Amino acid sequence: MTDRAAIEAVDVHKSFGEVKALSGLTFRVERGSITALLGPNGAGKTTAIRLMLNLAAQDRGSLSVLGMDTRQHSLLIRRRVGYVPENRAFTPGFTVKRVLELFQGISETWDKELQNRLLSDFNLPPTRKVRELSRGMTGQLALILALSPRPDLLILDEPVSGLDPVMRREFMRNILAEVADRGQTVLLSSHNLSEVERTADTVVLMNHGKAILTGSMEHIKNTEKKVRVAPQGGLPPEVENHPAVISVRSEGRAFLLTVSGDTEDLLAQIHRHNPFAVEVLDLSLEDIFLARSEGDKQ
Amino acid sequence: MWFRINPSLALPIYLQIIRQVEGGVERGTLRPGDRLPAVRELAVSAAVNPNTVARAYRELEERGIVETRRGAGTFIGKGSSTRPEPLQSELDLLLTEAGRMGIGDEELLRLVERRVLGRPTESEETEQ
Repeated sequence: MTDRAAIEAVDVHKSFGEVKALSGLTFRVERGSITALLGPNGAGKTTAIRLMLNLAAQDRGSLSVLGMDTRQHSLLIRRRVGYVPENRAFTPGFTVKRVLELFQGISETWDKELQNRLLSDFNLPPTRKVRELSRGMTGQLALILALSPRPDLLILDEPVSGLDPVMRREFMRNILAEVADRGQTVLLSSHNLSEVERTADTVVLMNHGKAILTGSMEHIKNTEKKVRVAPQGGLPPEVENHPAVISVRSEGRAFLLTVSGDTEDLLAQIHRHNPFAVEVLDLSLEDIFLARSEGDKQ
Repeated sequence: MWFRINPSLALPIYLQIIRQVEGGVERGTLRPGDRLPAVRELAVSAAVNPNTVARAYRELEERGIVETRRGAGTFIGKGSSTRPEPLQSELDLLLTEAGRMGIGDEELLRLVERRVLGRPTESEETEQ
């Protein structure tokens, strides 16, 4: 099945001095998916991405991109990956056009038509020098560079941070959808969970250098729920310690449980204690993340 | 100066003009103060659109290779008197790749220095 993985990380560890950036990161990204790598700042998203492009090396664990080991085939990998880094660093004295020409020169698959369409969609002036571009414009240039070679895998680190809201919606809805329609794989990192909620089909939720939850968006939203219980007296221990319970928060006399997996059994347990009220609620990705990072019981 | 324009090449015509002027400066066949043909003149003799020539000249001016003097025409600039330094296009490619990977100019300089001095590069950038 490994050949179907666009990205596969197994028990990847990475420290910078004393700081542990990744501590046993394991996840896989299926080809053709739009996978969102989510988590708060400092969760290890950017480090994970930099390892994929061999811009840094893991201390241990294995990581492959498009079926190739990142430590051995970084040049081949980069040729087939479009990457928008979090920090854009184009040479300040080059014009937009010069940057595009240089890239076109080194890419065998450059789609000039797509490049021009994006240039005009973004309204990016080709004669403008990089040092005269706003942060948003630099982000747009980075996007054009990543998309125009029609890469097999597109890796976007906080892609929409510099875009205005209209552009952002356009980007999330149309551009990424088109990319996925062509069978290209997209991995995008974001700390803005609600933004990717409608775009991504797969989620890797990270915290403290680990994946704390992975799966299809649909599956996660179907299995992760909230249960509000108003018990008689306190919350029974067999409910509080039930394996399906991720986190518990008290709300006055009631308790708000975030649950995952076998909720049938949990609900049966709850009902055995004749609670005043029980209510099962859907969760947003944001809620799921908060609950998971509070409990962090892996 | 003679321009050889070949419309059947994949390289856009304005870039062909730019490369030929740049090449002339590089080889020393074009020197500072040399006058380039007028836009219309070159357009007619090379059978290309005047806008294409104008675009090439504009770009050459942006790159600091030519100067336009009002009423007098387009000349090879003084700034281009020194022969261009070697490996410029290779460096441009390196800068471009670094830029794509989010590696800024300062970090790139540091990496080049370390590579040249043969110092170990910690765990950063371990190409092959």
